[in-house]
Amino acid sequence: MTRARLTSRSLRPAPIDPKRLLTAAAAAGCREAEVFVDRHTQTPVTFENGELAMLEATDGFLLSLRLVSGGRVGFATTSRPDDYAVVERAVRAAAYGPPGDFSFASPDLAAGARDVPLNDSTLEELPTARLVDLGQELVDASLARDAGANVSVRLQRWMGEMRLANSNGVDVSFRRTFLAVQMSGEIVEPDGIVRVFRGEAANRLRDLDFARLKDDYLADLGLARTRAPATSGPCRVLFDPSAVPDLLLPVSAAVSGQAFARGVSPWLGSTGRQVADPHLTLVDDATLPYGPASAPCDDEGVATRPTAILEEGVFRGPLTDLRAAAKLGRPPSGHGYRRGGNPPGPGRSNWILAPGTIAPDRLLAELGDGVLVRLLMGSGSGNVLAGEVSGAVLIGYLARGGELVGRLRDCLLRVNAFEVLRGRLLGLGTERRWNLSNCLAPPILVDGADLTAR
Amino acid sequence: MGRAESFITECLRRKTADYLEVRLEDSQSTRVTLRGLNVDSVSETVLAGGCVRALVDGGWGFVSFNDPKTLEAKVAEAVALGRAASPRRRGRAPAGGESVRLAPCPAVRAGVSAPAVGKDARSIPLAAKVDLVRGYAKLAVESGPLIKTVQATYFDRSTRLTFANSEGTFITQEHLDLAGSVGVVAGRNGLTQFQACTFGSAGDYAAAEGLDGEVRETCDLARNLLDAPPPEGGEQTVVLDPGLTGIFIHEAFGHLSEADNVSGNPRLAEHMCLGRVLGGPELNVYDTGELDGVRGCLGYDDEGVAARRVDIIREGRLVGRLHSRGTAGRLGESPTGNARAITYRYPPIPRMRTTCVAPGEATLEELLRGVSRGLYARRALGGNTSGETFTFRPAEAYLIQDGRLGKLVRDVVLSGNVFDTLRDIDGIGRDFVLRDGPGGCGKGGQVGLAVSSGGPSLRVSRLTVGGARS
Repeated sequence: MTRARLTSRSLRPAPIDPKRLLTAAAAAGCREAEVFVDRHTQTPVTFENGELAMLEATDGFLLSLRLVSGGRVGFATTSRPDDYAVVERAVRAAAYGPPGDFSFASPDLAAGARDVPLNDSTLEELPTARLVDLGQELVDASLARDAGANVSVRLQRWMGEMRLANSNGVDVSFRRTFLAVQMSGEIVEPDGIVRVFRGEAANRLRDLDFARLKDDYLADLGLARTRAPATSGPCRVLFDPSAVPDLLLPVSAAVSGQAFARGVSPWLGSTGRQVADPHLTLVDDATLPYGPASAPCDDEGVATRPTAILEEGVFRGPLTDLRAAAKLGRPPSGHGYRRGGNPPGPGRSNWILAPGTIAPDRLLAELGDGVLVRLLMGSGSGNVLAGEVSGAVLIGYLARGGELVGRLRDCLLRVNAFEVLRGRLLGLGTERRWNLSNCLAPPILVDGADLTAR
Repeated sequence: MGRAESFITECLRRKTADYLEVRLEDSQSTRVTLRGLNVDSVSETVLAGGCVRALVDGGWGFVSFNDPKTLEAKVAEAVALGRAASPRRRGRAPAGGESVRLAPCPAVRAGVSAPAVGKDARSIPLAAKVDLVRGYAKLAVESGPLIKTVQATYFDRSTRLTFANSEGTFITQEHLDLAGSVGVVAGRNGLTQFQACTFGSAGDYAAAEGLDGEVRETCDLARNLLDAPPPEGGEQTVVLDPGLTGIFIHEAFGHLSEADNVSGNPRLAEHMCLGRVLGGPELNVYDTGELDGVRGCLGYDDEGVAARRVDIIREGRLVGRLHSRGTAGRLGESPTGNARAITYRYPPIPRMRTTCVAPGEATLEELLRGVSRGLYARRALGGNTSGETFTFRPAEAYLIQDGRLGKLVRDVVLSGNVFDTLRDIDGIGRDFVLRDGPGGCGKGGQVGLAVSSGGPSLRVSRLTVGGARS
């Protein structure tokens, strides 16, 4: 596993010994136990209203213990560095927990984990003062272009170590660095407020394209003050790579092993069948070197591997954690992920969409009359499992005759993702970009959306 | 002076900074989740740690940690970060030529116990909590074949907070929080509909009990929605019930009245100048930490300021904002006790507590009367906001035709522009309801903050209704 130094702010030695917890769980009569430790340091640099607002250094430590006691699963977490009582709490929770009808990762499942590089010593050693300079350059560029736009920039460096040890003998750990940079501008006009937003993230400093971030932001800023005269009705939509995750939300819900195990996935029984346009090929790949969601193993210790979801529109099967896999009677796919301190559940890593055939300079011409969407708000609050994606267009532009004519304001967009990805896909771009949702995507052009304008 | 207090005071005294504060937090929470009749997870969480915030020559430094024994070193680190952030030391003039100024606040020494509640959740055994949620799940599962999935959750947390600053304030506080929901999905022929029955309180277990009737109604509604058509999209008159008014005022206006939006943005400050007429003379909006029993109740905020009631809109005019000491100092206004942090890992920022529209005079019948074509929307399944744009999703909505309630419609999304919408409120009901749910408020990466909201029925003459195609 990758083992780089953390020199600028070293992680302290693990305060609590996972092996001791496993021993204590065994002594308490637990059939199995699993310890997951997430330790990290973040150094956010925040500029608000064009000024450096705050420098931060936050240490995070969270230990989760999952065990099987009396045939049932108990779960407890702690951030206290010397909290061995976590075993008692997990045993207590197990008295009412779900049946332990699956096993924690075996050494076989953990074996074969690739040595995925995730750690950038240059980023670790970068002085915070340099992050401040990088942020200041972005702020200055915004003010130089449009002094009337109120600019905020946040640079977030993350340096962490994950370790998973269980009573089956699995003990894996890896370190990861990450830098996310977000840039937003707010323009106040007599008839309202317009916001622009751009973000880039990368594991390595050298992969974060500050120049592109700045140029994209400035281009958005240039268009922000021109209001487009939108009308309600059916329309074509070009989903920018930053908005592709909104369009893929229903796919994400449909391929979840949990939706399969509960029998609610609309793609239940569709493995091997055509569920989407043949131009759509989607792979979940956690083994990508320096991928934003890459890891040698998932959060249950199962080795990761590239997993096809859609091959030319044919569905290849759900993403599973240990529990969903056991319920479905199939081997786990290595997609047991934890959000915060919650128990693991089926999730996803990097999503890689195959590129299409529309060159960047032809995208708007192909769109013709329609809408370019960069950011939707509230897109996941609807009936996602039914394919519904609907939300307010926070950043979107109206195109007429292949030219952007202005920024949309006060519009709602609705699209049924399953319908359009299957029958209304007009094309995909040749050039792909990472978005902040860990998805490498080309722009996607669809027909059959509904725009409601005020 | 207790040992903890003398230790913190000593740490604060040793370091030189214009202002220093320490927060320590220790919380225990229990969460139960059921899917169908099966327990999906039972978890117990201990979250303990602290943070230091330092202001040095106009620069803020913030450090968080898990081991309180490292406090002294962390104070030094926060001071060093504050110094590095100082505009003068960076060779840059502070914006507007003025350095950060914290609005004055009297030093407080206080110990605040959690307000007494009818039935303290801490005294209820875990088995009873699991049984309660299982009972609701069973009701939903057994309510008929069209209910395809059921997910029931229960959550409670007790938190002990210690706050100390270099101005002599030392406060210990206890917070209790409790929330949950019973969510169901009804399905038929590929169409699915989600509904949820929710509850929440400041630790009163009674809020989670006795919801059998509501669970049944939730299942009935989900089933009925399968037969409902989607509404026609476009601008319509919408009457909101009190449950939806709460979310509306939170999303549409509460966020915009958080003073960090305007404190460093002179153009927005002009837009949001106190005294500006935003709505009709019947419109009154306030935010308060003083309402006991609801999730948004708060003794002192995370800067040690009493969480008093603040009127935001009085008789249609903007009269106040939600302040931290920093935003109040910058705008020359008084702090309001709205500086909140989701946990010790974050610095406090202006946030809501319990945000309400005050009741008016109209009955629901009067609000509906005169609406030739519109929607009556009830309760919320969620909402979002960005700047002046907001969107929210009612749990149920009915057509209004010639002043009468018509048929149920499904998949309704409402959206608007806050300034237009406040002006467009043309009727305020006399029915006031405060209702808590499990949803938390998110801002600046701090997601899941316990807030409450309330209000009467409202009539808005124009809202954008995003319809779905059948």
